[in-house]
Amino acid sequence: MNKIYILLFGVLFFTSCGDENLNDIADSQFVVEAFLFAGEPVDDIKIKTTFPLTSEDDTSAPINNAQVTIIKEGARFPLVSSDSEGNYNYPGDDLTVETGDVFELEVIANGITATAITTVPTPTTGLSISQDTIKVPQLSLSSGMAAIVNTIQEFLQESSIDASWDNPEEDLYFMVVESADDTFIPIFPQQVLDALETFRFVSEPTNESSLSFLAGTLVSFGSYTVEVFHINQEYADLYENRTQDSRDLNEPPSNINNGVGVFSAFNSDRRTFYVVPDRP
Amino acid sequence: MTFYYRSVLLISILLLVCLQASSQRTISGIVRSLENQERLPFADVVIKGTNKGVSTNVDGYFSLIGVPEDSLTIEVFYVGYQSLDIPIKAGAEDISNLTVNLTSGIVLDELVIKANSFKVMNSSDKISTIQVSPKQLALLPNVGEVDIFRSLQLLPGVSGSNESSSGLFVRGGTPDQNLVLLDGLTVYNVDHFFGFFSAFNADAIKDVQLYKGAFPAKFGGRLSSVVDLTGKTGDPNNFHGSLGLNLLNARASAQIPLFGKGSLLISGRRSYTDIIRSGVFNSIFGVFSQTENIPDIDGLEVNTVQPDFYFFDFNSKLSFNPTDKDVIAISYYQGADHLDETNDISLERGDPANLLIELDVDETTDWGNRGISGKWSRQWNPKWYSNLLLTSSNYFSDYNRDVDIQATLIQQDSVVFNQNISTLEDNEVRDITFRLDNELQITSDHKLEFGALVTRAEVDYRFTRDDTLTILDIAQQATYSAGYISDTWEPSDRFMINAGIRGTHYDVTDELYWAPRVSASFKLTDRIKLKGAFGRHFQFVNRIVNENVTEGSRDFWLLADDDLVEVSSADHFIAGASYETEDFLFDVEAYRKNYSNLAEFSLRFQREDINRSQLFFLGDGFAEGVEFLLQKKRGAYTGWISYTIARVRNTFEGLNNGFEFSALHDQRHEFKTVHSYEIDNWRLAATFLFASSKPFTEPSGQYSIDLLDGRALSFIGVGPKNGSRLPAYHRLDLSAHYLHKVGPYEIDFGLSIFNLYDRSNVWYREYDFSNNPPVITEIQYLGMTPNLSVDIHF
Repeated sequence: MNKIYILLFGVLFFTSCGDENLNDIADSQFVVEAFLFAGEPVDDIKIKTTFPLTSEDDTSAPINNAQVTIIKEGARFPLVSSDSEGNYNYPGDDLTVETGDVFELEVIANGITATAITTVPTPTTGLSISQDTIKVPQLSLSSGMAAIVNTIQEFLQESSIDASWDNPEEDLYFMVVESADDTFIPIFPQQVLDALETFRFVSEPTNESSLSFLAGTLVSFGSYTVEVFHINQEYADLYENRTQDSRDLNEPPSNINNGVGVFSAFNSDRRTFYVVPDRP
Repeated sequence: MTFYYRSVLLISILLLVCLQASSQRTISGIVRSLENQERLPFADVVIKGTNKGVSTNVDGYFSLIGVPEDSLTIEVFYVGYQSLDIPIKAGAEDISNLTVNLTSGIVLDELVIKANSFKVMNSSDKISTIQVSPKQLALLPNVGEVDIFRSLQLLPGVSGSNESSSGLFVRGGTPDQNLVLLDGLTVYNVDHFFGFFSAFNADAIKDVQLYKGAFPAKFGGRLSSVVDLTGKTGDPNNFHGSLGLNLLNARASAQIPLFGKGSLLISGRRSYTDIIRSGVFNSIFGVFSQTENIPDIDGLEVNTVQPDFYFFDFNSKLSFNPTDKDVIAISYYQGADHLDETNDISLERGDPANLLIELDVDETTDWGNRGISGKWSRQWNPKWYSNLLLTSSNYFSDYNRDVDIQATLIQQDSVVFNQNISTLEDNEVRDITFRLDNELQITSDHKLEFGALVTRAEVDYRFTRDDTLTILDIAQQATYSAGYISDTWEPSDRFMINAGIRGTHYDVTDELYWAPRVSASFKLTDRIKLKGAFGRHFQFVNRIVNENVTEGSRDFWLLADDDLVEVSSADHFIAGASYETEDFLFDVEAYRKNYSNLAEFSLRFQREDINRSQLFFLGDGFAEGVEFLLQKKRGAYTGWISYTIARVRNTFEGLNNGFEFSALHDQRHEFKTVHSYEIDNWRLAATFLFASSKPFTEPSGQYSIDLLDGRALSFIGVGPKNGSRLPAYHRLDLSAHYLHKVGPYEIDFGLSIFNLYDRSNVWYREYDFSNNPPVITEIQYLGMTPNLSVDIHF
């Protein structure tokens, strides 16, 4: 009888010690994309699923039934679903986003509670741009290809706009150049715009106090805003680790505990310039 | 300094006690190998019919105190050798200078090992300690080369499924947590050929002691285990030599006598892989280079240059015995690997071709060790032995990758683009150690060991990209001074306890680290022994794992500095029992190790203003398990079956959301069998290994984040750290050796087959994120690989 007990014990001992696979939690993981802007309502928060590694297209699904709460100085502000796209907003007017505020985010979805924290940075100060009007020369197709190329080259050199701001502490900033108009009036023929594609300004976080871009690479006449965001490290980190590869497969940059994505706050200032045709 | 004064005072008192000790009958002498007069360290010298005995020290001396005055027999055992009985006549006089000559187990035309000798390994004497015979290991299956460390992986408690590393994963420890000593010299890099072979030439090694945990106070500075290698000294009277050739390298050694007072041993081996690439080389190199996928692009011309690779090592040892009591030895070791993967790639675009893109890739990796040790040891009297040692060790690892990309307009012969991308990773460790060890047989019941050492260590590590981005540039210096004392007390024939303490002062933290060590054994009966041990261990220099599987050794060593990496510690708890007959040994040991301040390195962020501390994660962990061993010790058929059930867990605040995760080398089950059979001149061996799955971190999915400027960035979500498992590992290896004697020449013809049934064991999974969807590739270990060898000894 003792031998039977020993055998039973042995079987239980070994069968209870299989290799553990801890990856089940990955199936429930969700993405938080939450941005707060100083002086603006809380309405840029999106919750969605990840999508399979083997998928060619972004097949992530919105999560519309999450419990999303913003916590400011201990006070809880529950958010509501804005639409069926996984967006959330705070419907009241008692939640303000101001410089120096510390916000916590709590998201409960798929049985997981994810949390994050961010601080609203100080506003961008001393923002100025070197030109407020860019005049685009008219291209005369009859003047020949060499003349057209020369005209474009000269224009590109002259269309550089320098944006500068105060940054004595070498903080992180991010510049966005956007059209302020709804109408699209092409600057150049499509072939020329395609050729200029590689020169187009692409924003990257910087700790400098100025950035330059070629307004000539914009595609449409009209008014544009130059908005310089004072950003936090968690947002800049998104850009720093785009070179994930299998030799050093680590968690992607994220300040979301128990989830992925980002929760960050911004403060900004903006200027406007115009791109107009240079008519004789 | 109080610690030193107290230590000196204590040692002085003990010396006085020793000198006044009672004058019982004492038998002392030296145990040697009959073949070449090589002194045999750690041989067992036992009074027959009792449990009373001692081990020889590293120079082969022994001293039995309190021996009865009746006639008796002394038995001498040494792993891999035939045991010997020495009759001692009745009398009251001390016997000194007794020379015991043992015959090697590998002797042609004679009987195989008899009596209680262990043939390949002896694991019964001390808790968590294994002694192995390099000479016998040579007859086990191998992959092209006799390899001591690879053979150690067949032992219980040592993971055997790491084909890509000859480093030892001992009881949940990592290879850098092993203290590897060669004649007292610290060896930092134990790998050749990306880890496929160890850096030690078996021809130059006489004895291997593996301490798997709670090791004696004499050793320190590592968390997990100690591999103590004793180099051959050579025959002081006769010239001996050996030549060996296999499908990867050639080797030679010579033992040159020095007028009966000493000898010079020279031993070297070098791979000829840079001259002739055998099938074995291609198979092994293929394992490490299979990740280099060059995309199939129209017009792409790859001027592939076969990688230029070789390794070598050189051992020499000059031993001199000015008197019967003194041994002076100078040992030199150098080993290095060189890999040159330079190649050119060119791509023409346009029809007709109008753009030429050229990539000029210069890529070299060099890594290795060199070191020298000088020792003077003296047997002052039968009770007191001293060993004075001065060592200098240097480890280096240099990696350079320089990629020049150039685009040329062919018709205009005009260079339109030129960029250089370079990566440099250099690591160097230098240490100088001065140490004094003493063994004092105070009485027949007490053996005292005490000593002190001072080590000055310097570590440089530089990791730069493109000459402008310095990821790490570290220059460290540290001095650690240690003292230890331990007493082995045998109050009865059945009970033995060893208690000791080691104190280390580390000048970087300016702290004193106390490490108590205790081990005990109790013989319930003549066959059943209970044993237990506790030890606290500290580590001051760590090898930081830097994953890169294709470019050789990219791990690097750093000193603990309380900034990036802290002084790590481990507490070992061990309990076990053994049942031993003349033919068999059954041994079981359970262990638990609690780790603190483990470090992990990660290149998560590579921006220019990176804070160095963000590259390192600190945490705690534990390893626990139970090992079972059934060994057939003697006879024509010998071998063992071992099974280990274990787990290793870590908790790092900055990793895995702070949750506990399996360590990368965590393996729940490992089953190993080793079988060796001798028939006439044939030595046949088979080994089988099954290891359950190892963890890895698996990408869990994709996601994108919309940015402020309207673009979206894509990311790969990562599942729980080490939360997934690779398939189980298993393989069967066979070997056959035919030993033939022609005049003075002993010739060994060997055939070895690694992974006989060609099991496709998975090393790791590679994810190519440049494709959409990502491509998953299983990188596999070595398939079936035969090897032939010839060795000639004379």
